[in-house]
Amino acid sequence: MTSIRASLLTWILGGVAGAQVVAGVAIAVIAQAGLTSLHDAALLARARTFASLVTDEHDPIEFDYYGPLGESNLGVLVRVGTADGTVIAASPEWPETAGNPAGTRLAPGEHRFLDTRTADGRVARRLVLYSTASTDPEAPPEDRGRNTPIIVEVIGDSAPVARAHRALLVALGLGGAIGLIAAFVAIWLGVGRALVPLARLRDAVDRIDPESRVQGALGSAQTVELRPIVGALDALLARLKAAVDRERRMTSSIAHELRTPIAELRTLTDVAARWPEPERQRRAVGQAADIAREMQSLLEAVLALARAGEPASSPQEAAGEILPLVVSILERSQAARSGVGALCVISGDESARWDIPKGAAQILIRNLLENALEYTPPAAQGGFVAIRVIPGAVCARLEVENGPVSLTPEQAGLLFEPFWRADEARSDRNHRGLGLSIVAAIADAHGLTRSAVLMAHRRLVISIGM
Amino acid sequence: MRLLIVEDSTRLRESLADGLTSSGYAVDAVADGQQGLAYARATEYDLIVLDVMLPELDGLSVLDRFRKAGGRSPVLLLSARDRVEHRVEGLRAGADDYLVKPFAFAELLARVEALCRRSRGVPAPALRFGALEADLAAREARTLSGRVPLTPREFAVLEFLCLNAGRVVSRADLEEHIYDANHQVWSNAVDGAIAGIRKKLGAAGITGLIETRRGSGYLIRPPGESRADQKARA
Repeated sequence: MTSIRASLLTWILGGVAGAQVVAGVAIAVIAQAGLTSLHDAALLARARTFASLVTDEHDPIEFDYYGPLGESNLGVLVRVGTADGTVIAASPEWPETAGNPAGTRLAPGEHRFLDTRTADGRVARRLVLYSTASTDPEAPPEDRGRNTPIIVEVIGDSAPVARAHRALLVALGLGGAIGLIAAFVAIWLGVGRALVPLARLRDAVDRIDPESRVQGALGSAQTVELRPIVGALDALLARLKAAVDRERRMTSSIAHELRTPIAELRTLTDVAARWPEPERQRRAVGQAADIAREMQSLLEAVLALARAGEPASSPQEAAGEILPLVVSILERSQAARSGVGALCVISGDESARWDIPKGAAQILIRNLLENALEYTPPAAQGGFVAIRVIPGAVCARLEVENGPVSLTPEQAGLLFEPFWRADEARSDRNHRGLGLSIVAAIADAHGLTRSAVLMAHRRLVISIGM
Repeated sequence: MRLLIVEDSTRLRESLADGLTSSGYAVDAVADGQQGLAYARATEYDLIVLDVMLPELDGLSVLDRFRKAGGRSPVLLLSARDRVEHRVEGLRAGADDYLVKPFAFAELLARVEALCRRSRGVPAPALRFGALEADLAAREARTLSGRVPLTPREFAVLEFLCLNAGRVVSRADLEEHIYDANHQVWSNAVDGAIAGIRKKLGAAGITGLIETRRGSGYLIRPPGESRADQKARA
């Protein structure tokens, strides 16, 4: 199981460490370049100083430095020579392997740096400066010199640069490590603080009962980020409560439906047991069998209702065009065959389609039609059933209109309720009040809208679709 | 005792009528609320067993109209609705008792007996008149020498007289409470039943319990006031 704290720590610390590494590398590279540049500048300054000490007022060219040229005295190694390769002066430790840059075509004043090693093998930086021997501007023209090209070379030990660079790297490493630890602590505390509303949300959810809402339980503790979660949780709670209430009503209705047949059964058997006359017992057995059949029929209707709301477990053939389905179901309808006698009219667009599974559509249409045919008086008494299939932009609509019906507008609103029956059907055990509930469950399960409206002249219109 | 059953379930109605008739009650049974109200208004039943969910007119409306019309018969409501508020609603509408379906017939019978007794102001299930004990629960009459072999009809007559002890009960009253609407009552049926009771009680050594008031009817005196008791005290 993942932890938000661990996950955030990993990601944020990873990010910080990555940034530190990139920044550290960049700083190290820049610092290296900077230090080298400073070192080079120092070497160049020294070289120019040495170059200024070379004069050609007299022949031969002179290097007017009278101290020792050793590294211990100058801090660097130096070699001064002419462009044709004549060495005028050189430090005694000058490495013989350094070579001689004489003959290189560079303009006076130009220089170049090279990486090299001292005679004892230390890494060093070598500057080759092309210059000209100094002259005295105040001397007579014949003594002003010849501006003879010279080459001044300086080798400086790179160890100080390397040491400074190493020190910088160590400082960067330490700083990075301290930064990481500080970031860890800050993130740990920050994430903990950020997770407090979640803990409050959990406590609030623990506290609430099905009748209350998270919004109320959380009160002012919710944050901007939590608000949509709280809203979603409350919506979920509302949906769950509606589902539980529906199930509770369903269970209660089933229990209610079973009470009368069980009362019949108990009374039959109690009376037959108390006064055990053969004729009474024979009658009781026959009636008990009838009751069992009715209870089985109730059970099957309840199961059909439960299954009507289930999504299909496997892909099923789509219903397709509605009109042919309506016609075939009407022809096969038990109610139609038994000759109810209501005037039945079908109209609509043959291209109107439903994409819901064909099996579900057949049950839906059959229950709708049989309900209409069952509760419509014969044509001689003005009874009629009109079935209309209406195409729509998104989904087709099926309308079943019948009349005249003995319903109030309020009763029409109850038609989709499980076990609800109009008074005239209440005592009839063949009518469970589940047919239209099954229609509603199928419509709801497949995203179809449904309505039952009582119109003028006692006409009932049940509409399924969009 | 004459009962009215108003129940739309044919099987339950017939079974109840069968069981209660076999228990010695005269029973009329109808299937809907309108009929039930008409029957209840036409006859003074000793008890009405009334289903709540009825076609035409629901049980509570029947009860309400019956009580508003001055009906005094005790009413036992039968209902599949078992919640407290439903029971309270039924009892407040004027019912004397409320029984939730399904129920045991023995319980219904016991409640019917209790309601019939209470409506006559008799709390105990057994009534004693001198040496005679009328056990209304067991529906038998007993003396010190044992059970008096009364037929159900004879016990029903004796029971009605016992429950109305101290009051002269006319033949018409007896006929109305002992026979149901479908029963052909012969002119001397009550007299015949009274004669039969007297004969069987006499054989058990009890005489003079049922007095005849010429032109008025029959009377059983309350315990302690019967001639036998008076003779015993003298």
